[in-house]
Amino acid sequence: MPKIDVSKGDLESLIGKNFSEEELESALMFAKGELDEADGDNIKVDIKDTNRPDLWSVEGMAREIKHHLGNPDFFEAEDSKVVVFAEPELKDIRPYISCCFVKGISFSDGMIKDLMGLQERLHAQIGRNREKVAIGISDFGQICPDISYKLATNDLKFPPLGHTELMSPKEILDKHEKGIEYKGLVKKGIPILVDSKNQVISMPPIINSNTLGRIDENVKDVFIDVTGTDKKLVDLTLLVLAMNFQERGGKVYRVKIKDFEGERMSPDLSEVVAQASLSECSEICGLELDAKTIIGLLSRSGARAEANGDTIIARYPAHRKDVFGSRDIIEDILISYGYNNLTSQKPNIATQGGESRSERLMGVVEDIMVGCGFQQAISFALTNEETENAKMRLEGSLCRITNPMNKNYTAVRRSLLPCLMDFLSKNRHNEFPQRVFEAGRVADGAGCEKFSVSAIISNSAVNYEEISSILEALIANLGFNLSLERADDPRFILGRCAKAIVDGVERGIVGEIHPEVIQNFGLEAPVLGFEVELGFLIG
Amino acid sequence: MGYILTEEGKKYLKEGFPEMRLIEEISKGEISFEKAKDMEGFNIALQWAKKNNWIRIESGIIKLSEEGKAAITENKSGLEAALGCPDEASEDDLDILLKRSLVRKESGISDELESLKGKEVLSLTPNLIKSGVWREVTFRPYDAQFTGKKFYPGKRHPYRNFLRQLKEKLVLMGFKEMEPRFIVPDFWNCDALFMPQTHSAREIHDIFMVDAALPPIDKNLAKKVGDEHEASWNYKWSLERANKCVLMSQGTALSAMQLLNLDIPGKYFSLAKVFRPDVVDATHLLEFFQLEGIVCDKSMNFRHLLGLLKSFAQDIAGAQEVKFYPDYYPFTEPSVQISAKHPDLGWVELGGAGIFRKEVTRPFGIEEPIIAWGVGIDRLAMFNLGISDIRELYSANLKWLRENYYYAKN
Repeated sequence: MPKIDVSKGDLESLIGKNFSEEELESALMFAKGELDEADGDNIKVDIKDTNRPDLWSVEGMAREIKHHLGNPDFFEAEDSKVVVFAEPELKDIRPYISCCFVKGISFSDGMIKDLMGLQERLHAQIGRNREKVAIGISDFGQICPDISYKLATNDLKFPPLGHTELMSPKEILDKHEKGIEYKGLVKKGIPILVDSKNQVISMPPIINSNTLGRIDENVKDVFIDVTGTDKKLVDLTLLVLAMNFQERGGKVYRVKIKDFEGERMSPDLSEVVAQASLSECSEICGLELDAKTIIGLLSRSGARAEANGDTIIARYPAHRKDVFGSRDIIEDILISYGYNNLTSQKPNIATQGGESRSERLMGVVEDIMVGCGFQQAISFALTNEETENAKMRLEGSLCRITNPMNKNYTAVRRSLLPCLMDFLSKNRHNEFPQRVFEAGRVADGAGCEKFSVSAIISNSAVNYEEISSILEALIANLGFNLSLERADDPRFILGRCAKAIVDGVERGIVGEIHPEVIQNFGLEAPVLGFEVELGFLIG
Repeated sequence: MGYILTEEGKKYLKEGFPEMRLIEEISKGEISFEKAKDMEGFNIALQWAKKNNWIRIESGIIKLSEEGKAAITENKSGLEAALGCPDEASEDDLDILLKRSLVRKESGISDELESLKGKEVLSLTPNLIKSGVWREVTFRPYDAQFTGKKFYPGKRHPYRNFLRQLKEKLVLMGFKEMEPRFIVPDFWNCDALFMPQTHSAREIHDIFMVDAALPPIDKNLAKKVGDEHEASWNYKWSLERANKCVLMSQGTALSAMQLLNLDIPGKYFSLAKVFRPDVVDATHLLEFFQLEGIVCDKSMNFRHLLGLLKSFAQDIAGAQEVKFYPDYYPFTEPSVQISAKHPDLGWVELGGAGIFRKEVTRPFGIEEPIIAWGVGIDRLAMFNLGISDIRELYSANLKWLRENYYYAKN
């Protein structure tokens, strides 16, 4: 969900209309935008659609809004004679390239800033950090076509953007900040773009040349190269940039790409065609819509639609690669109609509600423990090896996170007793006795989820029976039989610990916590505790 | 330990035993049975006089026997003496008196109770109550204005209470809860929701992967889902990738699983924990609860979706005013975001919704429209619990928990 800084005046001049804040808010909805902040001319727009890069810029918003206001501006491009030769050897390295050039642009400071912002968003949101898509924009005035996209050789030195000294591609990877940042993308070979005089235009996806590839207010004509690993996205990205330059008054020229697949003109301008039945449109919208109305609404979304019997065929311009089928058409109909112009209807379906079985039963366990006078704790489901094993004097497997973010949260909790010990450690200075329980979901080392309940009592003096009697009360009130059997468990004091056997099956443990465990959690008072796996109840 | 007379015993002591009165009457002249019947206590008298062999009945006339005559001569039965002084009575006599409820055992502290009469006592005891002596004592006043040592009852955690109340609202609206999970194959978290394996939200920074061994996805279903991906997203779909286990990162995963077993019409919700890699601070946690659900019926349309969201805004956020914005989710089209005007928080982004894409429902053979919705609850929870740091939702501060009177506020 890119949030985009926009000059309100700029947006208004692109659209050719001034807006009050309220009008602007409604207009932005056509571009799936929400006015996030407004501070005089500086506004921030949250564009909701992460699948519509054509909307991620002030030019894109203006284009979409103009369609909806009935003042459409269709994209046009003239075929040029310029050819880009892509060497077949790039097929396994960075296979796709799409290019075009635009003439007659008057750059302003703000435009250059906006352009850099859009480039960044495209790289981050769809380019997967320049792997799938990377953009280069150069001064077409300095380029002598035709152009070659090939593997760089190390004798080809050029000044990278921001530097004046000549560097070889290898030196750039080792020394230039962008080289260091993105060198992982060119392990198999370094692609380079040169003109007919062997002047370097750019070294995708890393850096432009400081001479041909530098954009400032003096540049009038630009050359755009987009390279990457996803053909559809490479072409879409080029198209989005080209359309934006047209919004700024530029004239776009297509170039011929000759690559391992053959020849094609770029950007690709073939229409996206989808269809929907009239009845589906009416049913999903909840409106009685005739073909004429639908065609009218779709034209405001930039689609040329026609009716063929009961079928609506919608032809979208090439940048609408997000359109897959009927539901996309229907959303466009609804957006043009205006979500807030629809009257809502309460769904009138009689169904019987209910809690899930496990949640209902956990509620019963909680009721009994609360009735026994225990305060409920709720802990994070994520924990770490130290809390589960080392501090509890245990060893054993845990369901581990393979990409942890934070050393405190590296695994799913296996038991609740350590969570409660952790709870006590945060309450050393609060009034005793402390009687706390937790009931919840845990997972074993294989990721198998179970339900568990644990309770602890901490006080200056404690007596085993205080906790064993609570465990008995819990199990009995759940309708099962508890018996205890002497056990030896490292978490508890030897001789003050028993296995909890519920209806003949071992389900848990009860006893007085081992002083070393108490110290491991930074505590000073004795602790009694139990933990029981609730498989007998919830299974 | 002594014996005292019952009310009946006292009466007998004063008026004589009924059987004695009967034989005394007969001794003045024989009486017919019919006439004697009118005497007070005749039944008891007859029973005991017969038992003692003091009388016989001949042709409807009651006659005195020799033993009867002797009893009158001695003027007093043994029992009368015993009743006069039960503490000294023979065991046999006492037995009869007890059986006839003429005497009862007196508690052993009568002297002590006696001594309390007219005095101020500290404690009300069972003996004071039973003996009735409480009527004759006064009680030392307490400082009734003192509430005593602070008592902390067992309670649910305030956040849990909030979640349970939400759940109750959903259940009352006819929604069935879906079983929560922590760990799911990524298939349910993303693939079944039409999120391509190349999607930016599926990267390592957005979903926690775990080492877990869950059963693999059914191959037939997997193929249908994979085909949808390949037809639309232009890449090679991998079953192996889909079978990788993750910590659920969106509650919609449970809705996707429900598609395997969907009642139509049906309404389902989940209030499940989801996990997202993030930096933990006052507004972010690695795990949080999401309220999500689906509604499926052949009649469902987009206006119902708006109506449903509006009722959530009213019932959950207490909001009357709402605004809808076009939105985007990979698994719904059309999609919408709802903002609601909370009475205290002002405009808040309440949630998002949409109609499941055909690409989502088709592999499950479902043709009816399914509304999918999600409501953000963290801000509402924080507001309800009066906290400003999201980490406090899971508060382990016992003092705060003991002093948080959630029920009173709601």
